[in-house]
Amino acid sequence: MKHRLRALLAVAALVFAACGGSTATSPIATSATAPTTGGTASGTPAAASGTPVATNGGTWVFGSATDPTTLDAILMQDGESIRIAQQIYETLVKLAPGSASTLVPGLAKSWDASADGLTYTFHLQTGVKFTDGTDFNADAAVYNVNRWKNLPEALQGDDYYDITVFAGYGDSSLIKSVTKVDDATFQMVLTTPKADFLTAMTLAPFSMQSPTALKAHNADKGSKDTSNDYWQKAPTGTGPFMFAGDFVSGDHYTIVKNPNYWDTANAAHLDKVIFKPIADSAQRLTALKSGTVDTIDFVDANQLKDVSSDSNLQLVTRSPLDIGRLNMNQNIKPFDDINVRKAISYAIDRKAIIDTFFPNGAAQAADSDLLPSMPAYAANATIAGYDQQKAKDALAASNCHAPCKIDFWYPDSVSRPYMVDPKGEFEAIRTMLEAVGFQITPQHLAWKGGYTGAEANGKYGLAFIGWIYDYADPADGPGIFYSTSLAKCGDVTPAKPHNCEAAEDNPAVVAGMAKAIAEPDAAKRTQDWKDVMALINADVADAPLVWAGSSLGLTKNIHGFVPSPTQTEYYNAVWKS
Amino acid sequence: MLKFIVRRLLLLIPILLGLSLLMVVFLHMLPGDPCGAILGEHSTPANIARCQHGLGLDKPLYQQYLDYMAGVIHGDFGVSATNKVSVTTSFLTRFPATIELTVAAMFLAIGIGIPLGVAAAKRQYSLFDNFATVASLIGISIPIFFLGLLLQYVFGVWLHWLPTAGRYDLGTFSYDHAGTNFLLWESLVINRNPAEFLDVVRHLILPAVALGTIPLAVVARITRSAVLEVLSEDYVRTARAKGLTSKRIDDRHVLRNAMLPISTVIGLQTGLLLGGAVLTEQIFSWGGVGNWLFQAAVDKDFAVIQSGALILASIFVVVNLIVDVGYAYLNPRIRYQ
Repeated sequence: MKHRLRALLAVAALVFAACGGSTATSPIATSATAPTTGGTASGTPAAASGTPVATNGGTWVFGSATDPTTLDAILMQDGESIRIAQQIYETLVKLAPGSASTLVPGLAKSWDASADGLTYTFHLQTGVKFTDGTDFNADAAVYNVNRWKNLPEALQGDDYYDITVFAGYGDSSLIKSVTKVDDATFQMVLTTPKADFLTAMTLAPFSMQSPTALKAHNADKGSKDTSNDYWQKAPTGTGPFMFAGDFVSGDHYTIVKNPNYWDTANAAHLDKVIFKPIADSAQRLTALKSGTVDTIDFVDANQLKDVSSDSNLQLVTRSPLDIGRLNMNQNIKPFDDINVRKAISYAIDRKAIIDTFFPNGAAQAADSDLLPSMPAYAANATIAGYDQQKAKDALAASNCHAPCKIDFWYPDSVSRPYMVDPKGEFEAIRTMLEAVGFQITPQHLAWKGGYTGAEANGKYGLAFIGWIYDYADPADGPGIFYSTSLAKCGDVTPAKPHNCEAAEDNPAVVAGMAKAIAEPDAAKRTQDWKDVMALINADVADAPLVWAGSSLGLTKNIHGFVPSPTQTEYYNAVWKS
Repeated sequence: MLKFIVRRLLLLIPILLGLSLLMVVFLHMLPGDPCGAILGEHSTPANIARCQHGLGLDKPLYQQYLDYMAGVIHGDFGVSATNKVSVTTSFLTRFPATIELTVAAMFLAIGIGIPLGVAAAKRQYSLFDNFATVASLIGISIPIFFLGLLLQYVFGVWLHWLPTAGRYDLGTFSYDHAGTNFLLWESLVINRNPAEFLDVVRHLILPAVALGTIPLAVVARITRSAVLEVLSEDYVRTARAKGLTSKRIDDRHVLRNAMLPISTVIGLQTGLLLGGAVLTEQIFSWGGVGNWLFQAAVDKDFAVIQSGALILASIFVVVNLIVDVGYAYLNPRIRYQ
């Protein structure tokens, strides 16, 4: 027995010796040569603080939140899938790195729009190949656009962006036709003008995929199984990275450098990027600090200081493009009364919320559903700020006298960049509302337990909710919140579903938005949106609370990462020292 | 014996049918569905309606159940609504990770728990016995999430000795996952790479310790009491009177007889751990079954929860069957009808 015990101890000693010995080669030990103070970057390239000369090679381990849910581009709707897709696929038009609205050439080197805003002609880059060796040309582009237009019914349940941007499929689609002009040119004709069309084309779901690969896996035939077979085995694009054939659900997803990338000046520095899903944000931070991963996304507001003060790490914060807000449904009493809505908006001390729940500059007080970075944002057309006396006066002028009893909904089991602690924030707002004469009945439901659906269906009078803009355009925000007028919301059936979360009681808002969305001239369009936002703010259609951005934590040896407010981030420029 | 095994396996059919019915009813009684999880802020009524239609959730409940069971009978356990990976593929990928973790945890539990229990029993009421009793009490009482986080902080963040997430160093090694996904086996036997093997072992240590602590404490306590009981038996006194050596008495009489309750506990604990060490796998981002089912429950991913429960129930029944059969080996007086 003694001999066995000794042998056991010897094995244990060997294993621990191996553990100790390997520290010398762990990422943390290597980064000892990195600068010795923590650092932050806000909306600026991380490279600014790093070594100037990029080196090639290396593996970047990225701690993501979950696995990708699909990489059949047109079906993507979640950030983790899009994060990978932006590296292996490319769109016709791209956003400039770090920008939320500046368009730059992608697979199209230029484009022309007709004066009526209906016809777009794309001039394509030449010499581009998909990673399966086939050519990217007008035929491939036309094939992809036709797939968007005629998305098979079996796949439509998984789609969000296609239907949101093009409003339907087949004959109902905004895409009237798509035709090849020559090998390097094709034309898209829309049924009605859509001013944000080119901006929408920067979204990763509108990436170009290899028709050959799609056909080889029968993904064009329109079954969920074949679509899954395609993206899980051979998602094929033209990007600076390509799928490495190494996807272990729940463990990792690997992409490697595309050795034949067409844009040699922008070829990837890294050999490999591995996405490691870690669902819990605290565990992601532990993995970063222990050197298990090189980078994590969605650092919690209460973790920001922990990252920025760590001498081995750097904090990168995206400019805000998220809005936290209180939605007020005019279809439910007493929120049909503008004075009640005004009282709620006046009663909220947004600065106090930010000081308590968004320390370290994680958010700013919001006075509009738009962000100041958007051209249509106008400081003179914003909601009124915190004023308890005005709140009391407004409530006194309303039909709901103090104590005005209202239900107040908030979600459970969720944390979003604009809503880091829903219950805590709810309690804070509740105290503020009760201080001016409201009597609150708390109501809550799990975020994934049907909260968002019920809210959008117009079931809640007052609800804590928010929005993450996909691109910096009011159409992707107010254009959705207020898309349905009160008149239509009395008639919601499964066959005629409307977005009735606000049930805006002002037909001028709905009409004004339709005009703005169709206006092809940028300046006129901005003015249209300013007019609409003035109406919305005068109506106090909701109570904007905070503008928030998200943050990443990176080890100091990662350089060249350019944060984007829309999370449109390209990893070809990233390198590891 | 064969008749007994077949009968127990046949019992699986009503168990699984009952379980599947319960699962489908309970799952649909919960608020929400996978579409809320998938769509998030994009949950407009139109999007929800389209999503539900795409997943067949707009059909009557009985129709959904019949469709699901028809698939199961044909070996199709469905596809995850959230990550679109087939349940069978996910399970086959993740189960080896859970087995590896379970085996490592039980290796610790058995390898330390039994000697500890035996030693404590043989020195009853000694300082060592008191120490072992207190240690096992602490082991049983300490919550896994607390121990896991503590281990992560001390050995991962503070000392940088051991990794805190995953099964191997993703940046250094790569494995051919067309293979077994048993990484200890792949690194040592297939790749014959000691550095890879040590890397896998390093990743296994913290989760195995976190997961193995409670079974270790349980095994140690059961072993102590079982050995104490056997030590007071007449046949042990007779063996001593015959002049047998202490080692021979331990090996042939004490341990063998004490193993009956110990093997029951080991079997039950193994079955439970194979069912998914939810907390441990979550804390250490271990790509196993527990992690998978937890996320599915959060996302209301019906296909994964339903099928996962069926598969794990089958495994639990089989593990218990193996334990029962093991009784016959340990105690030849036991006969199964």
